[in-house]
Amino acid sequence: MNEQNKNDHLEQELRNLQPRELSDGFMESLGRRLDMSPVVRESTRRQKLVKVSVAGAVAAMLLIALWGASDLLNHDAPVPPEREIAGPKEAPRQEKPDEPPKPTLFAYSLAASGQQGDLEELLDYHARTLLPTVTDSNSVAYP
Amino acid sequence: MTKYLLQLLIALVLFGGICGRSFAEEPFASPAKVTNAALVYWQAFALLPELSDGDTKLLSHLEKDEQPLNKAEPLLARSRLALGLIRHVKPDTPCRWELIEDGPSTLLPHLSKARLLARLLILKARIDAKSGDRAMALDQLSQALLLARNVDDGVLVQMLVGDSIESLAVDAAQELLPTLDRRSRDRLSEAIVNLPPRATFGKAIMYERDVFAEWLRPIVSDDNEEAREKLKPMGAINDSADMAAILAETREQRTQWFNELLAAYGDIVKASRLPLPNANQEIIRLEQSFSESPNPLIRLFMPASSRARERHMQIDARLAELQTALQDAAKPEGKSS
Repeated sequence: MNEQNKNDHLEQELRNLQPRELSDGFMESLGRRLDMSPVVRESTRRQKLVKVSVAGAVAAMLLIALWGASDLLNHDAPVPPEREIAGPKEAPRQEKPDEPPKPTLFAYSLAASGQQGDLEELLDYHARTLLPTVTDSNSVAYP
Repeated sequence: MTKYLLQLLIALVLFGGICGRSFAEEPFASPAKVTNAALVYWQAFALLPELSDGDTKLLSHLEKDEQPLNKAEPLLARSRLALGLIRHVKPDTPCRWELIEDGPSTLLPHLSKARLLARLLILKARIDAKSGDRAMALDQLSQALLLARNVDDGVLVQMLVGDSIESLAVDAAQELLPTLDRRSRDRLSEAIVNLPPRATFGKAIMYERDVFAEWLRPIVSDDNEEAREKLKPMGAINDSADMAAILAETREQRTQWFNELLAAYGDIVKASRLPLPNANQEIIRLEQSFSESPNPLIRLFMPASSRARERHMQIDARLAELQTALQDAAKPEGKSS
């Protein structure tokens, strides 16, 4: 008997814990808030952007069509020269007679086999012309 | 026992991983742990000043004592970062230039810069010695000699550049000699002994053969059109009359000429091993015969070796003289040999 009373009491307590129905006022306020939420605002903005883009694209197409039509009507306009399409090029030559010799083994060997001082002259030339980065005016080493 | 072994292995792997990772993350090389001298030299080259024609002439005049030494000071001031940096190269630091081999087209951009850097070092040594800073002068000279050895990777041209630097350094050392006290003489003597060994003329000729001949081998063995294509990027060689004569011949003829070229390199090396006066005479005779040879490959590719060898041997003799002078002067009075 006692056990039966205890169960009834628990049942009553659980019934009291059931959520109550939401008021109409609260539902209205929630609806207003959702309308103003960033997600909704972003979606509205995107829609606007799409509309502007479509309008822009249509305007651009119209402009291009008008430009093409005026070009067709204007027969006296100078025709641009035809472009030459480059064919396969010959392999570049490293050393032509009028080009300064590059710092190659062959160039140095030729100089060494030449007159006395030819090798030194070529080395001096390359010492002046390779890696020429530090000048008097920009020298970070100059005190 | 097995359990501990496994734990030990895991610990070693972890330790190795941590060490490897910390090594890979080091942004700069410690001055005490330079592992490749060439990388330090390249940094110094990048810091060298731009030279005008006037600077080049001045350097040459200063070396011949045609201008007072103090005229070099502005140029040396512009070079001070480069000169300071290379003191981190030690005689036992390995030097690997790692040039990209491409036969006669192999680029040697370091040669001219190494020669310039060494000339500036020697000039600085002479100025330091004049102002009484002998220790600094000896450091500069030792660095110039080390650079001369490091620049010589075995090819004849590199040997010539190394020799030209050593010649200037020995001149400066001999100029300095009377002013050096015993300690300084010992120091210079020790620096010379500790240098990497000098390249030999015979090895330089054989290396030259390997570089030029190995590049030529496929050209002479291909048919004419293919050979012509391979020569195109060479410019100067390709345009020469000798090369036109080579390409006009059959493959058999070209192969014969090629084999004669290989033998010619060998003849020079054999001649260089003869006793001294005979060696010189024989090399000069061979050189003469090469310039008049009916074989265009020999005319085109055989280097002028007699002058290079003579100069190389002169430097050997002068270095030996300098060492003797340093050691004799360091001995107590009356004991010089």
